[in-house]
Amino acid sequence: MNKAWLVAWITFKDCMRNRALYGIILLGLVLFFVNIIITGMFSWEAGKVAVDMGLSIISFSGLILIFFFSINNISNDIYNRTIYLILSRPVSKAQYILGKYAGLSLIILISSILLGLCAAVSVKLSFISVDGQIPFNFSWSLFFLSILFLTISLLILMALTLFWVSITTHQFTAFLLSLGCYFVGQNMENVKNIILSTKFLAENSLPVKVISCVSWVMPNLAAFDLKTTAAYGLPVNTTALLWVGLYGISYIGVILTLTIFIFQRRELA
Amino acid sequence: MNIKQTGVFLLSFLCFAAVFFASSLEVKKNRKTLGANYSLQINPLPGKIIPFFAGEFKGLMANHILLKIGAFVGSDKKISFDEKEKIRLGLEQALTLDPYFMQTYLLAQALLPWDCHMPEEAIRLLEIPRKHLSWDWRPGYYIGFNYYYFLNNYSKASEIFFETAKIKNSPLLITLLGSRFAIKSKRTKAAIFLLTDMLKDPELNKNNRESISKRITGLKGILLIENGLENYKKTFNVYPPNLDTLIKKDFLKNLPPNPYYKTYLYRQKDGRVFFDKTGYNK
Repeated sequence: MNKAWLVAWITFKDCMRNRALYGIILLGLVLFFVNIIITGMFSWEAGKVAVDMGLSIISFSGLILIFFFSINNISNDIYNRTIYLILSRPVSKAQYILGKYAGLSLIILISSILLGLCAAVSVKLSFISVDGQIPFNFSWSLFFLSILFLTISLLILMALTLFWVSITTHQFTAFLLSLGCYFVGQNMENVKNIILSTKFLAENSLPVKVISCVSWVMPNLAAFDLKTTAAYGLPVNTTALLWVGLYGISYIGVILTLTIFIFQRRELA
Repeated sequence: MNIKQTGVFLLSFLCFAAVFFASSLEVKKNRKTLGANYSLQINPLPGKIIPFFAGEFKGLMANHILLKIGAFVGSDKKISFDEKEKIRLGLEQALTLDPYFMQTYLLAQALLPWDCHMPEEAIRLLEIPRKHLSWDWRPGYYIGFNYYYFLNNYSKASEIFFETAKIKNSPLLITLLGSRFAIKSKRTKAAIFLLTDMLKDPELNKNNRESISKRITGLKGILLIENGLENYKKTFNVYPPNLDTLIKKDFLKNLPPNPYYKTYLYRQKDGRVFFDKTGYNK
Protein backbone atom coordinates (compact mmCIF):
# COMPACT_ATOMS: atom_id res chain seq x y z
CA MET A 1 0.00 0.00 0.00
CA ASN A 2 2.98 2.27 0.68
CA LYS A 3 3.85 2.05 -3.00
CA ALA A 4 0.38 3.27 -3.95
CA TRP A 5 0.89 6.24 -1.63
CA LEU A 6 4.23 6.88 -3.28
CA VAL A 7 2.56 6.99 -6.72
CA ALA A 8 -0.11 9.26 -5.23
CA TRP A 9 2.53 11.60 -3.84
CA ILE A 10 4.40 11.71 -7.16
CA THR A 11 1.14 12.41 -9.01
CA PHE A 12 0.32 15.16 -6.55
CA LYS A 13 3.76 16.73 -6.90
CA ASP A 14 3.50 16.47 -10.69
CA CYS A 15 0.19 18.34 -10.58
CA MET A 16 1.72 20.98 -8.33
CA ARG A 17 4.56 21.39 -10.80
CA ASN A 18 1.97 22.11 -13.47
CA ARG A 19 0.76 24.98 -11.30
CA ALA A 20 -2.85 23.83 -11.35
CA LEU A 21 -3.40 25.05 -7.83
CA TYR A 22 -2.16 28.54 -8.67
CA GLY A 23 -4.91 28.76 -11.26
CA ILE A 24 -7.44 27.58 -8.71
CA ILE A 25 -6.33 30.18 -6.17
CA LEU A 26 -6.62 32.82 -8.88
CA LEU A 27 -10.13 31.58 -9.65
CA GLY A 28 -10.94 31.86 -5.95
CA LEU A 29 -9.79 35.46 -5.87
CA VAL A 30 -11.82 36.30 -8.97
CA LEU A 31 -14.78 34.63 -7.28
CA PHE A 32 -14.58 37.17 -4.43
CA PHE A 33 -15.16 40.12 -6.70
CA VAL A 34 -17.49 38.51 -9.24
CA ASN A 35 -19.79 37.29 -6.49
CA ILE A 36 -20.08 40.73 -4.93
CA ILE A 37 -20.67 42.43 -8.30
CA ILE A 38 -23.26 39.92 -9.51
CA THR A 39 -25.22 39.77 -6.25
CA GLY A 40 -25.52 43.56 -6.44
CA MET A 41 -27.52 43.13 -9.65
CA PHE A 42 -30.36 41.36 -7.85
CA SER A 43 -32.89 43.13 -5.72
CA TRP A 44 -34.40 40.07 -3.99
CA GLU A 45 -32.68 37.16 -2.30
CA ALA A 46 -29.25 38.30 -3.43
CA GLY A 47 -27.77 36.03 -0.74
CA LYS A 48 -29.11 33.05 -2.63
CA VAL A 49 -27.33 34.26 -5.77
CA ALA A 50 -24.07 34.50 -3.81
CA VAL A 51 -24.40 30.90 -2.56
CA ASP A 52 -25.34 29.73 -6.07
CA MET A 53 -22.30 31.40 -7.58
CA GLY A 54 -19.89 30.17 -4.93
CA LEU A 55 -20.91 26.53 -5.12
CA SER A 56 -21.13 26.53 -8.92
CA ILE A 57 -17.59 27.86 -9.24
CA ILE A 58 -16.25 25.07 -6.99
CA SER A 59 -18.04 22.53 -9.18
CA PHE A 60 -16.91 24.16 -12.39
CA SER A 61 -13.24 24.28 -11.39
CA GLY A 62 -13.42 20.63 -10.27
CA LEU A 63 -14.80 19.65 -13.68
CA ILE A 64 -12.01 21.55 -15.43
CA LEU A 65 -9.44 19.77 -13.28
CA ILE A 66 -10.93 16.38 -14.15
CA PHE A 67 -11.54 16.88 -17.86
CA PHE A 68 -8.42 18.81 -18.77
CA PHE A 69 -5.93 17.99 -16.09
CA SER A 70 -6.46 14.43 -14.91
CA ILE A 71 -7.03 12.93 -18.36
CA ASN A 72 -3.94 14.70 -19.59
CA ASN A 73 -1.90 13.50 -16.62
CA ILE A 74 -2.68 9.79 -17.02
CA SER A 75 -2.67 9.74 -20.84
CA ASN A 76 0.71 11.46 -20.86
CA ASP A 77 2.07 8.75 -18.58
CA ILE A 78 1.14 6.13 -21.16
CA TYR A 79 1.86 8.21 -24.25
CA ASN A 80 5.27 9.42 -23.05
CA ARG A 81 5.99 5.94 -21.68
CA THR A 82 6.83 7.31 -18.23
CA ILE A 83 4.52 4.60 -16.92
CA TYR A 84 7.27 2.05 -17.65
CA LEU A 85 9.57 3.86 -15.25
CA ILE A 86 7.00 3.31 -12.51
CA LEU A 87 5.90 -0.19 -13.47
CA SER A 88 9.49 -1.42 -13.93
CA ARG A 89 9.95 -0.82 -10.19
CA PRO A 90 8.11 -3.13 -7.83
CA VAL A 91 4.83 -1.28 -8.33
CA SER A 92 1.86 -3.29 -9.55
CA LYS A 93 -0.70 -1.97 -12.01
CA ALA A 94 -3.30 -1.97 -9.24
CA GLN A 95 -1.04 0.15 -7.04
CA TYR A 96 -0.44 2.47 -9.95
CA ILE A 97 -4.18 3.00 -10.55
CA LEU A 98 -4.94 3.46 -6.86
CA GLY A 99 -1.99 5.82 -6.49
CA LYS A 100 -3.02 7.87 -9.50
CA TYR A 101 -6.59 8.09 -8.21
CA ALA A 102 -5.45 9.10 -4.74
CA GLY A 103 -3.03 11.73 -6.07
CA LEU A 104 -5.55 13.30 -8.41
CA SER A 105 -8.27 13.10 -5.75
CA LEU A 106 -5.98 14.98 -3.39
CA ILE A 107 -5.81 17.81 -5.92
CA ILE A 108 -9.63 17.81 -6.20
CA LEU A 109 -9.92 17.83 -2.40
CA ILE A 110 -7.48 20.70 -1.98
CA SER A 111 -9.22 22.61 -4.76
CA SER A 112 -12.61 22.09 -3.07
CA ILE A 113 -11.25 23.16 0.32
CA LEU A 114 -9.51 26.26 -1.06
CA LEU A 115 -12.41 27.33 -3.25
CA GLY A 116 -14.88 26.37 -0.53
CA LEU A 117 -13.17 28.77 1.86
CA CYS A 118 -13.00 31.47 -0.83
CA ALA A 119 -16.69 30.89 -1.60
CA ALA A 120 -17.59 31.08 2.10
CA VAL A 121 -15.76 34.40 2.51
CA SER A 122 -17.29 35.81 -0.69
CA VAL A 123 -20.77 34.67 0.41
CA LYS A 124 -20.20 36.32 3.80
CA LEU A 125 -19.08 39.54 2.06
CA SER A 126 -22.11 39.37 -0.23
CA PHE A 127 -24.40 38.96 2.79
CA ILE A 128 -22.88 42.09 4.28
CA SER A 129 -23.12 44.04 1.02
CA VAL A 130 -26.76 43.08 0.34
CA ASP A 131 -27.78 43.80 3.92
CA GLY A 132 -30.56 41.59 5.21
CA GLN A 133 -31.00 39.41 2.14
CA ILE A 134 -29.63 36.26 3.74
CA PRO A 135 -31.67 33.21 2.70
CA PHE A 136 -34.37 32.58 5.31
CA ASN A 137 -33.08 29.27 6.70
CA PHE A 138 -29.46 29.60 5.60
CA SER A 139 -26.93 27.63 7.62
CA TRP A 140 -23.20 27.35 7.14
CA SER A 141 -23.28 23.66 8.01
CA LEU A 142 -25.59 23.06 5.04
CA PHE A 143 -23.31 25.16 2.85
CA PHE A 144 -20.27 23.05 3.75
CA LEU A 145 -22.30 19.84 3.51
CA SER A 146 -23.16 20.86 -0.04
CA ILE A 147 -19.43 21.32 -0.78
CA LEU A 148 -18.74 17.86 0.68
CA PHE A 149 -21.34 16.18 -1.55
CA LEU A 150 -20.20 18.19 -4.52
CA THR A 151 -16.66 16.92 -3.91
CA ILE A 152 -17.91 13.30 -3.69
CA SER A 153 -19.62 13.73 -7.07
CA LEU A 154 -16.33 15.04 -8.50
CA LEU A 155 -14.50 12.04 -7.07
CA ILE A 156 -17.03 9.71 -8.74
CA LEU A 157 -16.43 11.44 -12.04
CA MET A 158 -12.70 11.22 -11.41
CA ALA A 159 -12.99 7.43 -10.98
CA LEU A 160 -15.02 7.19 -14.20
CA THR A 161 -12.44 9.26 -16.05
CA LEU A 162 -9.68 6.95 -14.85
CA PHE A 163 -11.79 4.01 -16.04
CA TRP A 164 -12.15 5.46 -19.54
CA VAL A 165 -8.47 6.39 -19.74
CA SER A 166 -7.56 2.84 -18.77
CA ILE A 167 -9.67 1.51 -21.66
CA THR A 168 -8.61 4.04 -24.27
CA THR A 169 -5.33 5.87 -24.09
CA HIS A 170 -6.59 8.48 -26.52
CA GLN A 171 -7.16 11.68 -24.58
CA PHE A 172 -10.02 13.02 -26.67
CA THR A 173 -11.97 9.75 -26.64
CA ALA A 174 -11.55 9.49 -22.88
CA PHE A 175 -12.67 13.12 -22.56
CA LEU A 176 -15.81 12.54 -24.66
CA LEU A 177 -16.75 9.38 -22.77
CA SER A 178 -16.22 11.06 -19.40
CA LEU A 179 -18.22 14.10 -20.51
CA GLY A 180 -21.00 11.79 -21.69
CA CYS A 181 -21.05 10.05 -18.31
CA TYR A 182 -21.24 13.44 -16.61
CA PHE A 183 -24.26 14.55 -18.67
CA VAL A 184 -26.02 11.21 -18.29
CA GLY A 185 -25.32 11.23 -14.55
CA GLN A 186 -26.71 14.74 -14.15
CA ASN A 187 -29.85 14.24 -16.23
CA MET A 188 -30.80 10.56 -16.04
CA GLU A 189 -33.10 11.01 -13.03
CA ASN A 190 -34.68 14.13 -14.56
CA VAL A 191 -35.40 12.40 -17.87
CA LYS A 192 -37.04 9.45 -16.14
CA ASN A 193 -39.17 11.70 -13.90
CA ILE A 194 -40.33 13.82 -16.83
CA ILE A 195 -41.18 10.80 -18.98
CA LEU A 196 -43.19 9.26 -16.15
CA SER A 197 -44.85 12.48 -14.96
CA THR A 198 -45.96 13.55 -18.44
CA LYS A 199 -47.15 10.00 -19.15
CA PHE A 200 -45.48 10.39 -22.51
CA LEU A 201 -44.36 6.79 -22.25
CA ALA A 202 -45.72 3.94 -20.16
CA GLU A 203 -43.75 2.75 -17.16
CA ASN A 204 -43.05 -0.60 -18.80
CA SER A 205 -42.09 0.85 -22.19
CA LEU A 206 -38.67 0.09 -23.66
CA PRO A 207 -37.10 3.59 -23.26
CA VAL A 208 -38.13 3.70 -19.58
CA LYS A 209 -36.70 0.22 -19.08
CA VAL A 210 -33.47 1.33 -20.80
CA ILE A 211 -33.21 4.36 -18.51
CA SER A 212 -33.84 2.15 -15.49
CA CYS A 213 -31.03 -0.16 -16.62
CA VAL A 214 -28.72 2.81 -17.27
CA SER A 215 -29.42 4.08 -13.76
CA TRP A 216 -27.75 0.92 -12.42
CA VAL A 217 -24.64 1.51 -14.51
CA MET A 218 -24.24 5.31 -14.54
CA PRO A 219 -23.96 7.29 -11.31
CA ASN A 220 -26.85 9.54 -10.36
CA LEU A 221 -24.79 12.71 -9.94
CA ALA A 222 -27.93 14.83 -9.44
CA ALA A 223 -28.35 13.18 -6.02
CA PHE A 224 -25.14 14.90 -4.87
CA ASP A 225 -26.27 18.34 -6.01
CA LEU A 226 -27.29 20.20 -2.84
CA LYS A 227 -26.78 23.69 -4.24
CA THR A 228 -30.47 24.61 -4.14
CA THR A 229 -30.82 23.08 -0.68
CA ALA A 230 -27.89 25.17 0.58
CA ALA A 231 -29.01 28.32 -1.23
CA TYR A 232 -32.47 28.30 0.40
CA GLY A 233 -31.70 26.38 3.58
CA LEU A 234 -34.21 23.70 2.63
CA PRO A 235 -34.72 20.87 5.11
CA VAL A 236 -32.51 17.82 4.58
CA ASN A 237 -33.17 14.18 5.28
CA THR A 238 -30.04 13.03 7.12
CA THR A 239 -30.68 9.32 6.56
CA ALA A 240 -31.26 9.86 2.84
CA LEU A 241 -28.04 11.89 2.64
CA LEU A 242 -26.08 9.16 4.41
CA TRP A 243 -27.36 6.69 1.82
CA VAL A 244 -26.30 9.06 -0.97
CA GLY A 245 -22.83 9.30 0.57
CA LEU A 246 -22.60 5.52 0.83
CA TYR A 247 -23.86 5.18 -2.73
CA GLY A 248 -21.11 7.51 -3.96
CA ILE A 249 -18.29 5.80 -2.07
CA SER A 250 -19.41 2.32 -3.12
CA TYR A 251 -19.71 3.45 -6.76
CA ILE A 252 -16.14 4.74 -6.64
CA GLY A 253 -15.08 1.36 -5.21
CA VAL A 254 -16.84 -0.58 -7.97
CA ILE A 255 -15.40 1.58 -10.74
CA LEU A 256 -11.85 1.49 -9.34
CA THR A 257 -12.01 -2.30 -9.04
CA LEU A 258 -13.18 -2.57 -12.66
CA THR A 259 -10.45 -0.13 -13.76
CA ILE A 260 -7.78 -2.20 -12.03
CA PHE A 261 -9.21 -5.39 -13.57
CA ILE A 262 -9.11 -3.94 -17.10
CA PHE A 263 -5.75 -2.21 -16.65
CA GLN A 264 -4.09 -5.40 -15.42
CA ARG A 265 -5.11 -7.20 -18.62
CA ARG A 266 -4.02 -4.43 -20.84
CA GLU A 267 -0.90 -4.62 -22.98
CA LEU A 268 0.91 -1.33 -22.57
CA ALA A 269 3.68 -1.95 -25.07
CA MET B 1 16.73 42.31 -36.21
CA ASN B 2 18.11 44.68 -38.85
CA ILE B 3 16.85 48.21 -39.59
CA LYS B 4 14.65 47.04 -42.48
CA GLN B 5 12.95 44.37 -40.40
CA THR B 6 12.46 46.79 -37.51
CA GLY B 7 10.89 49.30 -39.91
CA VAL B 8 8.48 46.69 -41.32
CA PHE B 9 7.60 45.58 -37.79
CA LEU B 10 6.94 49.12 -36.58
CA LEU B 11 4.95 50.03 -39.71
CA SER B 12 2.80 46.88 -39.40
CA PHE B 13 2.23 47.52 -35.72
CA LEU B 14 1.26 51.15 -36.31
CA CYS B 15 -1.07 50.23 -39.20
CA PHE B 16 -2.86 47.56 -37.14
CA ALA B 17 -2.99 49.82 -34.08
CA ALA B 18 -4.48 52.70 -36.11
CA VAL B 19 -7.13 50.47 -37.72
CA PHE B 20 -7.90 48.89 -34.34
CA PHE B 21 -8.25 52.32 -32.69
CA ALA B 22 -10.58 53.61 -35.43
CA SER B 23 -12.71 50.47 -35.54
CA SER B 24 -12.85 50.29 -31.76
CA LEU B 25 -14.21 53.84 -31.60
CA GLU B 26 -16.82 52.98 -34.22
CA VAL B 27 -17.91 49.79 -32.47
CA LYS B 28 -18.19 51.62 -29.15
CA LYS B 29 -20.27 54.38 -30.78
CA ASN B 30 -22.62 51.91 -32.47
CA ARG B 31 -23.09 49.70 -29.43
CA LYS B 32 -23.66 52.64 -27.09
CA THR B 33 -27.06 53.49 -28.55
CA LEU B 34 -28.18 49.88 -28.48
CA GLY B 35 -27.68 49.46 -24.74
CA ALA B 36 -29.49 46.72 -22.91
CA ASN B 37 -32.63 46.99 -24.98
CA TYR B 38 -31.36 45.91 -28.37
CA SER B 39 -32.88 42.46 -28.11
CA LEU B 40 -33.95 39.76 -25.71
CA GLN B 41 -32.21 36.49 -26.45
CA ILE B 42 -34.08 33.61 -24.86
CA ASN B 43 -33.41 30.06 -25.90
CA PRO B 44 -36.60 28.80 -27.62
CA LEU B 45 -36.58 25.53 -25.65
CA PRO B 46 -39.57 24.72 -23.43
CA GLY B 47 -39.08 25.07 -19.68
CA LYS B 48 -39.00 21.32 -19.05
CA ILE B 49 -36.12 20.77 -21.48
CA ILE B 50 -33.81 23.53 -20.26
CA PRO B 51 -32.64 21.73 -17.06
CA PHE B 52 -30.89 19.12 -19.25
CA PHE B 53 -28.60 21.80 -20.59
CA ALA B 54 -28.04 23.40 -17.22
CA GLY B 55 -27.01 20.17 -15.48
CA GLU B 56 -25.87 21.02 -11.96
CA PHE B 57 -25.67 24.75 -12.79
CA LYS B 58 -29.44 25.26 -12.76
CA GLY B 59 -29.38 28.07 -10.19
CA LEU B 60 -26.71 29.94 -12.10
CA MET B 61 -28.58 29.61 -15.40
CA ALA B 62 -31.83 30.80 -13.77
CA ASN B 63 -30.01 33.88 -12.45
CA HIS B 64 -28.61 34.56 -15.92
CA ILE B 65 -32.03 34.34 -17.63
CA LEU B 66 -33.55 36.56 -14.97
CA LEU B 67 -30.84 39.19 -15.40
CA LYS B 68 -31.43 39.22 -19.17
CA ILE B 69 -35.18 39.74 -18.75
CA GLY B 70 -34.63 42.35 -16.05
CA ALA B 71 -32.17 44.29 -18.23
CA PHE B 72 -34.50 44.13 -21.22
CA VAL B 73 -37.57 45.27 -19.31
CA GLY B 74 -35.57 47.93 -17.50
CA SER B 75 -34.51 49.47 -20.80
CA ASP B 76 -38.04 50.93 -21.19
CA LYS B 77 -38.31 49.69 -24.77
CA LYS B 78 -41.84 49.14 -26.01
CA ILE B 79 -42.39 45.38 -25.72
CA SER B 80 -43.70 43.71 -28.87
CA PHE B 81 -45.97 40.65 -28.90
CA ASP B 82 -43.06 38.34 -29.77
CA GLU B 83 -40.97 39.79 -26.98
CA LYS B 84 -43.82 39.26 -24.49
CA GLU B 85 -43.82 35.62 -25.47
CA LYS B 86 -40.03 35.51 -25.00
CA ILE B 87 -40.39 37.04 -21.53
CA ARG B 88 -42.98 34.42 -20.65
CA LEU B 89 -40.76 31.62 -21.92
CA GLY B 90 -37.71 33.02 -20.11
CA LEU B 91 -39.63 33.23 -16.83
CA GLU B 92 -40.91 29.70 -17.33
CA GLN B 93 -37.35 28.49 -17.91
CA ALA B 94 -36.04 30.38 -14.86
CA LEU B 95 -38.81 29.00 -12.63
CA THR B 96 -38.27 25.46 -13.87
CA LEU B 97 -34.55 25.77 -13.20
CA ASP B 98 -34.99 27.35 -9.79
CA PRO B 99 -38.58 27.17 -8.50
CA TYR B 100 -37.65 28.76 -5.16
CA PHE B 101 -36.30 32.11 -6.37
CA MET B 102 -38.53 34.92 -5.14
CA GLN B 103 -37.25 37.44 -7.67
CA THR B 104 -38.44 35.27 -10.57
CA TYR B 105 -42.01 34.91 -9.38
CA LEU B 106 -42.18 38.57 -8.36
CA LEU B 107 -41.04 39.52 -11.86
CA ALA B 108 -43.54 37.05 -13.38
CA GLN B 109 -46.36 38.66 -11.39
CA ALA B 110 -45.16 42.16 -12.21
CA LEU B 111 -44.84 41.55 -15.95
CA LEU B 112 -47.14 38.81 -17.21
CA PRO B 113 -50.62 39.92 -16.07
CA TRP B 114 -49.95 43.67 -16.23
CA ASP B 115 -47.55 44.41 -19.11
CA CYS B 116 -47.97 41.25 -21.18
CA HIS B 117 -51.71 40.76 -20.53
CA MET B 118 -51.18 37.08 -19.77
CA PRO B 119 -52.90 36.49 -16.39
CA GLU B 120 -53.53 32.79 -17.12
CA GLU B 121 -49.83 32.31 -17.91
CA ALA B 122 -48.89 34.19 -14.74
CA ILE B 123 -51.12 31.85 -12.73
CA ARG B 124 -49.60 28.80 -14.41
CA LEU B 125 -46.07 29.95 -13.64
CA LEU B 126 -46.90 31.04 -10.08
CA GLU B 127 -48.19 27.54 -9.40
CA ILE B 128 -44.55 26.35 -9.66
CA PRO B 129 -43.24 28.35 -6.63
CA ARG B 130 -46.56 27.81 -4.83
CA LYS B 131 -45.97 24.06 -5.02
CA HIS B 132 -42.35 24.30 -3.82
CA LEU B 133 -42.51 27.18 -1.32
CA SER B 134 -44.96 25.65 1.11
CA TRP B 135 -44.00 28.31 3.72
CA ASP B 136 -44.44 31.35 1.45
CA TRP B 137 -47.90 32.90 1.12
CA ARG B 138 -47.00 35.28 -1.72
CA PRO B 139 -47.39 32.95 -4.74
CA GLY B 140 -50.85 31.88 -3.54
CA TYR B 141 -51.80 35.48 -2.84
CA TYR B 142 -50.78 36.57 -6.36
CA ILE B 143 -52.61 33.64 -7.97
CA GLY B 144 -55.78 34.51 -6.03
CA PHE B 145 -55.38 38.15 -6.93
CA ASN B 146 -55.04 37.30 -10.64
CA TYR B 147 -58.16 35.17 -10.55
CA TYR B 148 -60.08 37.96 -8.89
CA TYR B 149 -58.69 41.05 -10.61
CA PHE B 150 -57.95 39.88 -14.15
CA LEU B 151 -60.24 36.89 -14.65
CA ASN B 152 -63.19 37.86 -12.41
CA ASN B 153 -63.23 34.30 -11.09
CA TYR B 154 -64.28 34.94 -7.47
CA SER B 155 -64.91 31.32 -6.66
CA LYS B 156 -61.36 30.27 -7.60
CA ALA B 157 -59.90 33.41 -5.97
CA SER B 158 -61.61 32.63 -2.68
CA GLU B 159 -60.54 28.98 -2.86
CA ILE B 160 -56.89 29.95 -3.42
CA PHE B 161 -56.99 32.65 -0.72
CA PHE B 162 -58.41 30.19 1.80
CA GLU B 163 -55.71 27.63 1.01
CA THR B 164 -53.05 30.35 1.25
CA ALA B 165 -54.48 31.64 4.53
CA LYS B 166 -53.55 28.31 6.12
CA ILE B 167 -49.85 29.07 5.66
CA LYS B 168 -48.24 30.11 8.92
CA ASN B 169 -47.61 33.88 9.23
CA SER B 170 -49.74 34.70 6.19
CA PRO B 171 -51.33 38.15 6.55
CA LEU B 172 -54.87 38.34 7.86
CA LEU B 173 -55.81 40.30 4.73
CA ILE B 174 -55.72 37.06 2.71
CA THR B 175 -58.35 35.49 4.95
CA LEU B 176 -60.51 38.58 4.84
CA LEU B 177 -60.23 38.84 1.05
CA GLY B 178 -60.98 35.13 0.71
CA SER B 179 -64.16 35.52 2.72
CA ARG B 180 -65.16 38.59 0.69
CA PHE B 181 -64.80 36.67 -2.56
CA ALA B 182 -66.59 33.71 -1.01
CA ILE B 183 -69.67 35.90 -0.61
CA LYS B 184 -69.45 36.90 -4.24
CA SER B 185 -69.24 33.30 -5.31
CA LYS B 186 -71.88 32.17 -2.82
CA ARG B 187 -69.38 30.21 -0.71
CA THR B 188 -70.34 31.97 2.52
CA LYS B 189 -70.66 28.73 4.50
CA ALA B 190 -67.15 27.66 3.50
CA ALA B 191 -65.81 31.06 4.58
CA ILE B 192 -67.47 30.83 8.00
CA PHE B 193 -66.13 27.33 8.47
CA LEU B 194 -62.56 28.36 7.61
CA LEU B 195 -62.61 31.48 9.78
CA THR B 196 -64.06 29.61 12.76
CA ASP B 197 -61.31 27.06 12.34
CA MET B 198 -58.69 29.82 12.24
CA LEU B 199 -59.98 31.23 15.53
CA LYS B 200 -58.83 28.03 17.21
CA ASP B 201 -55.21 28.95 16.52
CA PRO B 202 -53.67 29.76 19.95
CA GLU B 203 -50.95 31.88 18.32
CA LEU B 204 -53.47 34.36 16.90
CA ASN B 205 -52.97 37.83 18.40
CA LYS B 206 -55.77 39.88 19.94
CA ASN B 207 -56.25 42.24 16.98
CA ASN B 208 -56.41 39.44 14.42
CA ARG B 209 -58.79 37.48 16.64
CA GLU B 210 -61.10 40.49 16.80
CA SER B 211 -60.92 41.05 13.02
CA ILE B 212 -61.77 37.41 12.31
CA SER B 213 -64.61 37.35 14.84
CA LYS B 214 -66.01 40.51 13.28
CA ARG B 215 -65.83 38.95 9.83
CA ILE B 216 -67.57 35.77 11.06
CA THR B 217 -70.42 37.86 12.49
CA GLY B 218 -70.78 39.66 9.14
CA LEU B 219 -70.70 36.42 7.18
CA LYS B 220 -73.21 34.71 9.47
CA GLY B 221 -75.52 37.68 8.98
CA ILE B 222 -75.18 37.37 5.19
CA LEU B 223 -75.81 33.63 5.32
CA LEU B 224 -78.98 34.14 7.36
CA ILE B 225 -80.31 36.78 4.97
CA GLU B 226 -79.32 34.73 1.90
CA ASN B 227 -81.32 31.77 3.25
CA GLY B 228 -84.32 34.05 3.76
CA LEU B 229 -83.91 35.42 0.23
CA GLU B 230 -83.75 31.95 -1.31
CA ASN B 231 -86.87 30.83 0.61
CA TYR B 232 -88.66 34.00 -0.51
CA LYS B 233 -87.69 33.30 -4.13
CA LYS B 234 -88.94 29.73 -3.90
CA THR B 235 -92.34 31.06 -2.79
CA PHE B 236 -92.72 34.12 -5.02
CA ASN B 237 -90.30 33.31 -7.89
CA VAL B 238 -88.64 36.72 -7.48
CA TYR B 239 -86.31 38.31 -4.97
CA PRO B 240 -87.97 40.79 -2.56
CA PRO B 241 -87.72 44.53 -3.36
CA ASN B 242 -85.87 45.15 -0.04
CA LEU B 243 -84.73 43.32 3.07
CA ASP B 244 -87.60 44.68 5.24
CA THR B 245 -90.01 42.65 3.09
CA LEU B 246 -88.33 39.47 4.36
CA ILE B 247 -89.26 40.46 7.93
CA LYS B 248 -92.78 41.58 7.01
CA LYS B 249 -93.44 38.27 5.24
CA ASP B 250 -91.95 36.23 8.12
CA PHE B 251 -88.96 34.89 6.20
CA LEU B 252 -86.69 36.53 8.76
CA LYS B 253 -87.36 37.52 12.39
CA ASN B 254 -85.11 40.57 12.22
CA LEU B 255 -81.99 41.73 10.41
CA PRO B 256 -78.83 40.36 12.02
CA PRO B 257 -76.21 42.86 13.27
CA ASN B 258 -73.65 44.08 10.73
CA PRO B 259 -70.27 44.89 12.32
CA TYR B 260 -69.10 46.87 9.27
CA TYR B 261 -72.00 49.12 8.30
CA LYS B 262 -75.29 50.42 9.69
CA THR B 263 -77.20 47.74 7.75
CA TYR B 264 -76.66 45.06 5.11
CA LEU B 265 -76.64 46.19 1.49
CA TYR B 266 -78.97 44.33 -0.82
CA ARG B 267 -78.99 44.06 -4.62
CA GLN B 268 -82.36 42.87 -5.87
CA LYS B 269 -81.41 41.89 -9.45
CA ASP B 270 -79.26 38.93 -8.31
CA GLY B 271 -80.38 38.59 -4.71
CA ARG B 272 -76.90 39.35 -3.33
CA VAL B 273 -76.16 40.71 0.15
CA PHE B 274 -73.02 42.60 1.18
CA PHE B 275 -71.74 43.90 4.49
CA ASP B 276 -70.12 47.04 3.04
CA LYS B 277 -70.09 49.25 -0.03
CA THR B 278 -66.78 47.83 -1.35
CA GLY B 279 -68.38 44.52 -2.23
CA TYR B 280 -71.65 46.10 -3.29
CA ASN B 281 -70.11 48.51 -5.81
CA LYS B 282 -67.72 46.03 -7.37
